[in-house]
Amino acid sequence: MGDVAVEAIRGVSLTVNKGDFMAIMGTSGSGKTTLMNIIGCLDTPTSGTYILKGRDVSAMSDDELSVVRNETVGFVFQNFFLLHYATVIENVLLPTLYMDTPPHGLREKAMEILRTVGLEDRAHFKPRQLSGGQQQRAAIARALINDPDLIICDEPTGQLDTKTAAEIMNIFTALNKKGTTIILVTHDSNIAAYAGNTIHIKDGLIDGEFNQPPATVTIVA
Amino acid sequence: MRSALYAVWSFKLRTAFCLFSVSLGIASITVIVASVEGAYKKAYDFVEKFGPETVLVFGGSEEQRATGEKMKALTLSDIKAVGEAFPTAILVVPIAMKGSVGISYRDVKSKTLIIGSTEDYARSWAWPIEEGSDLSREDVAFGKNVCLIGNQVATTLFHDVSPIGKTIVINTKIPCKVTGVLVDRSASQMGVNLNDRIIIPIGVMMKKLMNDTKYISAIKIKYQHGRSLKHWMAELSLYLRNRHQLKEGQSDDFTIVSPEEIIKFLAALTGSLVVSLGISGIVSLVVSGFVLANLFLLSVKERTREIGIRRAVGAKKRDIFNQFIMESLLITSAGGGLGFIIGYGASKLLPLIADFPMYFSWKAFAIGFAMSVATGLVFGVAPARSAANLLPIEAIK
Repeated sequence: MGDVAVEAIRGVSLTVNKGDFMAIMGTSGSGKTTLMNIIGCLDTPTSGTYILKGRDVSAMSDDELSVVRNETVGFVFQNFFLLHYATVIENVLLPTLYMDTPPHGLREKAMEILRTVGLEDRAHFKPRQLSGGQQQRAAIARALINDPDLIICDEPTGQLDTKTAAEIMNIFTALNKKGTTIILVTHDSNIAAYAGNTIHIKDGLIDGEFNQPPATVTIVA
Repeated sequence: MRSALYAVWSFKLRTAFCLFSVSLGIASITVIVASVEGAYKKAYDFVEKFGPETVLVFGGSEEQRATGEKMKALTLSDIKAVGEAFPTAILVVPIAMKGSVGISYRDVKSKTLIIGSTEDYARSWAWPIEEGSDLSREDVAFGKNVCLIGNQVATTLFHDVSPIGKTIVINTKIPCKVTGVLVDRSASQMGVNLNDRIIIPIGVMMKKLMNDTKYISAIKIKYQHGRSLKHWMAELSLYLRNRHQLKEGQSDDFTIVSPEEIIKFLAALTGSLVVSLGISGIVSLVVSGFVLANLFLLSVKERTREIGIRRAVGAKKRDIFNQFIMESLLITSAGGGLGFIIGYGASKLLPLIADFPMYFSWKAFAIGFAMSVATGLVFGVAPARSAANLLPIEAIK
């Protein structure tokens, strides 16, 4: 993955490099969710630029953003956000429904990913039949199906007990070791500790070293 | 498509609701189409019996006939003249009628319509003989006291006994030997029981029953295959006007009735029924459409999260739009299918209450299906669009 540059949130700049594991910390209302939405191409900044893999995302149309989300970004949410009426494997395959040209062997690939997150024997269960930790594993598998360059996790352990949270974080650590860039949004410093580096957001500004006007956020992954 | 199927299945209650409301609309549409087709089929059946290549000429103008005024205009000599003037007219059959004439066989008495005609009467109406034989040329030529009786007359006077060879007394003074019985013709045709009639030779009719040797009630003409009936009707009209010495501007003293007009008449008769049924059908379909749109809008709200998830993993606006339209179509077309079945069932029950012809063909199904698909499209657009336009960040909050 090339450069990912975000210039947003009251003009703070931040750079994330390829293979980074960065935690964005802040209390609720700090602006960390807005930042995450912009990085994840769910939202566009009202001003400033965001360069992702050398492309200016802030100038993209809704359709183009959808393609970027589909091919480049994988999301893991606090509440798992699985479709309750579909099975685990169907949830994992959900992003492939929106690929322009889906390759062959997607089911096998999905099973392979489920194996790596330890859910191969739950492929045909409905999400409600699974524990919280298992649901989050399914969500991680879904985030991985399209081989994203960047995984964005929004409080991924917020609904889980400490032991399960550690298991989930270990999965992220393992993924990062294999080279996936991960951005972790959390307010929990114990969870943020899994990341390689941490930035703090407060009132839409990055606390500390980058906090000089005209402030910008640049992420290079 | 697959995911649409999934969603439809997962929201069973909502789906069932929509499906049922659409199916009611389609059911009424189906009944309408079936009854329209039934009416037309009945009309065509009637024309088949009337004879597709025949016309009926009545004495008197249309206005005079409408006011019930009887007009003596057609004569026996007209028959002869028309027969000679038009070689394409294969059969030219005189008809003299008198209604409610007393008849009896032994001590059984009744009243019926007496028709004076020729040996060609049954043939000109394409009306087969069930039992016995038709009137013969000699019967008519020599004015023999014989008759051909309708099925109803046979049942009334003879019950289970064969009427052939028995003698009926018409108008207390004319004894007639029964030569044949006409086959049963669907009992009620425009309110007239066709089976309730007796046909006797025209000469006997005119001399003994009508005391009139000149004027007849109508002429039935059967033409050869070939040129259009319209053409022949125009020729016939012109010929009769000349023959009756009518001046220009004077209205016809006869009325020519063709099968086409009978169809028009029957169509007009069923038309009002179709309109009222049609309006209720359209209304119920529109209502079901609004129910559908409402439930879908509700479900878009309910499924905001799902839309957000799909958008987050890469669904474009049009993917979401297509999904909801697809779901809407799936439900409405299934509703259409169910509606067709309900309509089919209803129209099997309807004839038990009223004499109502029903006929099913692929048309009823195709129209019902097309309308249900149209409902799905029209009323699915608004909810699908509002689903597609949800902002991803709002949808996954």
